Amino acid sequence: MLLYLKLLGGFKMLLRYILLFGYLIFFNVSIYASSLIIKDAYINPTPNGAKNGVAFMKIFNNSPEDIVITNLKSNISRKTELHTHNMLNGIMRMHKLSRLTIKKKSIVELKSMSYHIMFIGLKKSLKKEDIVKLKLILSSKEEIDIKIPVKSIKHKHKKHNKHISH
Amino acid sequence: MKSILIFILSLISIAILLISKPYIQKYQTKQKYEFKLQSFDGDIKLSDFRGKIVAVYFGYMYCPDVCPNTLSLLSQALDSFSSKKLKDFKGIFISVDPLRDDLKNLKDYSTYFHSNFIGVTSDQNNIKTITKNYGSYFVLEKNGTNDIDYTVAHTSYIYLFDRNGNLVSKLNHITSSEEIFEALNKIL
Repeated sequence: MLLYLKLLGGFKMLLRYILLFGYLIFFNVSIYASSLIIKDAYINPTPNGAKNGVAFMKIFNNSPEDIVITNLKSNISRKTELHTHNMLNGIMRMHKLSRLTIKKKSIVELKSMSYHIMFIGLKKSLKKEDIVKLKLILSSKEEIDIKIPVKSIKHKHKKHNKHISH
Repeated sequence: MKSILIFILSLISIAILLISKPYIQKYQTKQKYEFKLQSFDGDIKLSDFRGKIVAVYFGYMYCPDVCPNTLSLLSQALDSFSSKKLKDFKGIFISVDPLRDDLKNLKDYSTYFHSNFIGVTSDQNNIKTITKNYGSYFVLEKNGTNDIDYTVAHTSYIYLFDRNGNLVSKLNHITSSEEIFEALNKIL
């Protein structure tokens, strides 16, 4: 009888561990599935009079599930949209994207002449050192808030002052 | 005797035509790239800038990426030249979107990138004629007549003219300021 009770207790304990483990796995998956790591995000400053702006960044998805960005929100412009470029016969065209999928364990880079975030109808020009709040809305309905610095458009290009001629 | 005279005159005429042909072609080419456009400070023609190196770029102010990026690269290339040399340079940003880009904003937009840039535009027919003459292309991609957020599909060339108004380079989809610097350094 004592042995039976011990076995029963052991079984219950095992069951508890299995449930806890399962819960943790589920819990972890749900965190990973909604977790994107954003790196090197920046927005180009805009000249006075420019009505549209653009943001670039690297989006990492280290989870075991694909993550889909379906919408964007920002209060700096009338519309905030995902766009991409394509070039055919030397002609650049921009297209709005309805969604952007970040495949599991992969990176999507938003960069010049490729995927980018468009701020359409800027309420004011974007100045160097401004910080812009952006909300990424996922297909899971989760919302991720990020802050993006406005950096000089020149920061990513090399200078070649050694060539200065007088 | 008369027929000999006619023959000699014919030879002279042919010789004159052959000698003058390259000059005529050069003149016609220059005329092809000539334009008259409006800036905030008045009308300008390409020929107003004889004696200067001129860079011409077609774009539009609502362009969020390619146009500001290209103008920025051109500006960075210019930073490598002395201020003395830059007195002999003029950058002309031609908006292909006169419906949305007004002259005051074009002035502010262009000088934001470099003090030697000017922003100009004109009516749509004139812009179409000029872009056609330059071998450039653009189309307003509207989703309906009320679409105010339309984009413009366009080529992205920088045209460099020497001091005599001759086209010397047509740089396509520039991705580094070095490319522009190399081209400018030959003529500036």
